[in-house]
Amino acid sequence: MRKKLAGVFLLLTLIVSLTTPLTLQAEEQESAYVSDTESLLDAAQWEELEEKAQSVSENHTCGIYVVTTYDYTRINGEDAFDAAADIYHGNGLGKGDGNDGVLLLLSMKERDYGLYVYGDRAQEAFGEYAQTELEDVFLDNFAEDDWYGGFLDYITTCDEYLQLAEAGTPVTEPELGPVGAFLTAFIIAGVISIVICLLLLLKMRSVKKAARADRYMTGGIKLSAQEDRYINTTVTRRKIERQSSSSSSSSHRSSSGGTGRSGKF
Amino acid sequence: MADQVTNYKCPACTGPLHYSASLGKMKCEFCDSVYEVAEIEAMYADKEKQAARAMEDTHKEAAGQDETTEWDVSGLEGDWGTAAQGMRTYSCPSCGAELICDETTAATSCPYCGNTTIVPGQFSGALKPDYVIPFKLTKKDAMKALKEHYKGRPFLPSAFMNENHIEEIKGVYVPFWMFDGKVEGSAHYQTTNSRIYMSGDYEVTETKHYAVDRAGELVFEKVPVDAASKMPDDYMDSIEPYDYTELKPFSSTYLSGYLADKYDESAEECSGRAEDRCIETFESALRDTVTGYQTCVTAGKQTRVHRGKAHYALLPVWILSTNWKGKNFLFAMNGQTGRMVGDLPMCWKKFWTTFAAIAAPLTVVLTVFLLL
Repeated sequence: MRKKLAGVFLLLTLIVSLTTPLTLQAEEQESAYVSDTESLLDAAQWEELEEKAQSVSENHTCGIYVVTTYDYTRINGEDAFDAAADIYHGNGLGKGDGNDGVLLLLSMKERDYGLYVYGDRAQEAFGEYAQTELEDVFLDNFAEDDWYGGFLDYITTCDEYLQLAEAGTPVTEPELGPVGAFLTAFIIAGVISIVICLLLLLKMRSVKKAARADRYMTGGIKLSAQEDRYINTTVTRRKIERQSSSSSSSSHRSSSGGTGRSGKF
Repeated sequence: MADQVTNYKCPACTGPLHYSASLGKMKCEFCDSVYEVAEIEAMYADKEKQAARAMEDTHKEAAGQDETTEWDVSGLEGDWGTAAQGMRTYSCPSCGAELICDETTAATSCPYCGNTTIVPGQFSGALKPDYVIPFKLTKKDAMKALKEHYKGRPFLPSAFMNENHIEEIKGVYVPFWMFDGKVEGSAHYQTTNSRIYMSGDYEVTETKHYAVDRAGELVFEKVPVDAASKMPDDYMDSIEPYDYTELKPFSSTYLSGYLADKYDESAEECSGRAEDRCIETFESALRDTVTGYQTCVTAGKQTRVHRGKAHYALLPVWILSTNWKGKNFLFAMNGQTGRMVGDLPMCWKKFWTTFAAIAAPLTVVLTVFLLL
């Protein structure tokens, strides 16, 4: 009887796991920062990253999460960013009163990633520019299938950005400043001006050897033979990427207030 | 011995007659009498024949000089050096002064009495031009056209425009070869038409490839090439075109009052330039018949030039020259249409001032925009 009950429980667990992957992940990740369902990491790597993520999260009261999955569309068909947001909120992730946190989702089927930032503290540390910078930190590793390196860089950089935000100097786009703005403007204006001046310079020259004799044609060309033969047809196909290219990504804002990015790696 | 040169004199007062570009007739400088070209032509026909014959006789004498007993003046040649080669001397029929000219000179003016002198021998027999386009525009028109030419040139030095004086302005009948001919040839092109459509997650590009052959011919008439080595080819090309409807059978009376040279580059030497221009036009015209394709690449071509008649014509050109800071600037104007060409000196100060005038406000606007 106990065996039968255990069998029924196992079957129910299997059904649940197949139909509601999000809930399962939530259960798995209840106490985890690094959820590697795709087994990209070995045990030692996972343990090291888990400890590091936990340490950073607790030190800064801002959860730093990593989730790997096979196909994000099973979670949310819209975009990897929306899938990351669903995982974040579906599992009640985040630290502190504001449930602050950052979640990096890797979807291995089409090599998609989604980065989700939630909460005021997290938003302050990971503004739009910081998110772009953070993205650059891990994308080069993932492009070479260096999963451990990429996750490590991600967690380390999150730690740095949070420290900077706590010190009152969050990572923001460097301001051009008056000198920088002037120099940039001067270069652009210089290029435009030199093009105009060179066009005006052409007006100083009016002597040129003639290359053609169009004026001296009597009537038009008389064709003695003309043949157009069809040879063959070639067909080329190009897969349309959901994002414009593997190296580009786009920024998003969710209805729940989180921001982030998504793209290909 | 008869004179080798002639000049046209007014039947009324014997003053010098010049061809008037504005009247299109011969006009006396002294009594303002006006004569039809044909009238003067008829009057001087015999005299010109005699002058041409005298020139031929001189050539024959020169050829037979070795056999005659003459004073040995060979040592005097050294004073002239190579400059003596290609020079000829004539005697001015009006004042008797010795005129030293290039061997190609066909019309000039006497530096002593100012009368126009024609050398009919330069245009006699096989050397006679087929056509001439008489000057339609005067020296005044040329000066006016030059001033217009200066306008709208932002980097022209102000001093050049205001203070510079044209050092020399001369109306010259430039010898031209005009080539008739036909270019025939064929070309092979590889062309494509493509259409792009979506199929599921894929963008499909379907390209149809075609082999296109064309063969044809194109006839050209009177493609001009200047036949005077001292005239820059690029200047003469740049003042084209001439209105050929005004071509007239050659008459040396049109040369009166202007300078003229006979050709010193043969039709054979000049034909290459005309052929290159015709081939270029033919290839382009043949390519233009390939229509209805998105891409077209020439894969092979063959052309052949059928040489037709080469006409010899004198065309009117006003040549203006000036010196600016030790550099000679030449301008040429089509004596029929008024088209003026000539490269101008540059004022780099104006260039950089213009640059700054554009760059400075633009920099300010862009700086403000970037800081906002």
